[in-house]
Amino acid sequence: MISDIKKRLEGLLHLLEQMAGGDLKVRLPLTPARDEIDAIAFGVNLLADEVQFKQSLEERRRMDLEAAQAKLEFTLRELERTQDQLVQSAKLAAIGELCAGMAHEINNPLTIIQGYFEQLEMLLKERGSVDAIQGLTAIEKIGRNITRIVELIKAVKGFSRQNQAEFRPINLVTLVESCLALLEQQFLLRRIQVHRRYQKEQQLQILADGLRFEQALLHVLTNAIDAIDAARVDDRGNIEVTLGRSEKAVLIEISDDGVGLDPASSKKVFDPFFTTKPVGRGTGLGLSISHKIIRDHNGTIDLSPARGTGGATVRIEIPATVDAHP
Amino acid sequence: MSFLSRILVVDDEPDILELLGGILAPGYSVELCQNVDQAKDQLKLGPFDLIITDIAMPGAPGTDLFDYVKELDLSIPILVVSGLLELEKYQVNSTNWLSKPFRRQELLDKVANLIASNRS
Repeated sequence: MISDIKKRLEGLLHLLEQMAGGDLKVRLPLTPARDEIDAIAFGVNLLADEVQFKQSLEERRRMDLEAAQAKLEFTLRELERTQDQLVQSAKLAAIGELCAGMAHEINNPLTIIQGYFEQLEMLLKERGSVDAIQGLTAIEKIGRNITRIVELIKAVKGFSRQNQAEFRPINLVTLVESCLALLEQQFLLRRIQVHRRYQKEQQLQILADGLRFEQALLHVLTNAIDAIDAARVDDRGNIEVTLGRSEKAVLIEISDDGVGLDPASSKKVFDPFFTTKPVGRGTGLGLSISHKIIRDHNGTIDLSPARGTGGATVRIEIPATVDAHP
Repeated sequence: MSFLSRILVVDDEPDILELLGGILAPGYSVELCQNVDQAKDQLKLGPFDLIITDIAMPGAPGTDLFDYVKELDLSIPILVVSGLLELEKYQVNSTNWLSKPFRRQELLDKVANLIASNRS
């Protein structure tokens, strides 16, 4: 009898060890005796059922989690792709604006070239000769305007090599003036006055990838124009460009008297896709691109309310390459 | 007494102004202005049969003249001559728009048509 109990208990122990080892499929056998040992075996079996059920729930939850994670990763990849596309379309929009500006700038000298060319052609056809002074005047005007176009093309040629960073010592005044010249038509059309406050030019040297830096400034200036656009029906705004020095850095401040921004928005302006402009007006990428470019130049950029005008001031600091007090 | 139609030409580029004047002068009486303010003064002084204007100019855009002509209750057609591309932004259509660069005959045709249709 005792050896029988011992044998049954040993059997139970063996199966319990199997369970403890992770095999939850085994169940303890019950005997027809329905005694205390069977009661224990029954309880253990119930517990095993419970654990197995919980484990399967756990397994399902893990699988759900894995599926959700895969979905999330997919969405993230989609988002990255969309972001790339948006960056691309922002680039295309910038190229479009550049082309429109270029076309206008080229069309004026081209009008003069064509006009005087036709004048010479007409005179030669009608009279067979052209008065020397009249001919030279026309040729001089044609030549001067060809030079205008050549200079313009030189100025924008670099846009096609934007991807190769070329850090060179650059005079900030020249760079800022080139940006302002590109936007000249925009200022004229909107009656925006540009006020310049520049410190000594020799102290305004930085090490920069000129084309990218120009792009960063163009986005800031375009934003100022849009802020003025949004503030007044008839535009007529002011943009102040200040170039100054601190001990170690060159400071660029661009202030406008446009709509300005509330403090909450001021913090977000450099986030990609943040925009307060109406749908379709801004991609929300301009200032984030500026931010990235300035960071690539070891500089900082921030936006704060403009003093007294209700507009905004963008302040950029870039390490200087010459001493403040030579 | 002169029977020549009077044309007011507005462009901030002296070379273009001179060119337009040179093309038009044989057949028209031409008044040249370098900005919108000068043009407004001229409009107050006497009648014109046509205004030819650039858009982007220092001071005010040439399109301001559309409003000014309405304000003075004048019936003067306006021909916009510009190198800008987005013509749909302004109060113009293919009849009163001439893209820079233009051929002299194109200019002369547009000018003649606008003056004739305003008279009829």
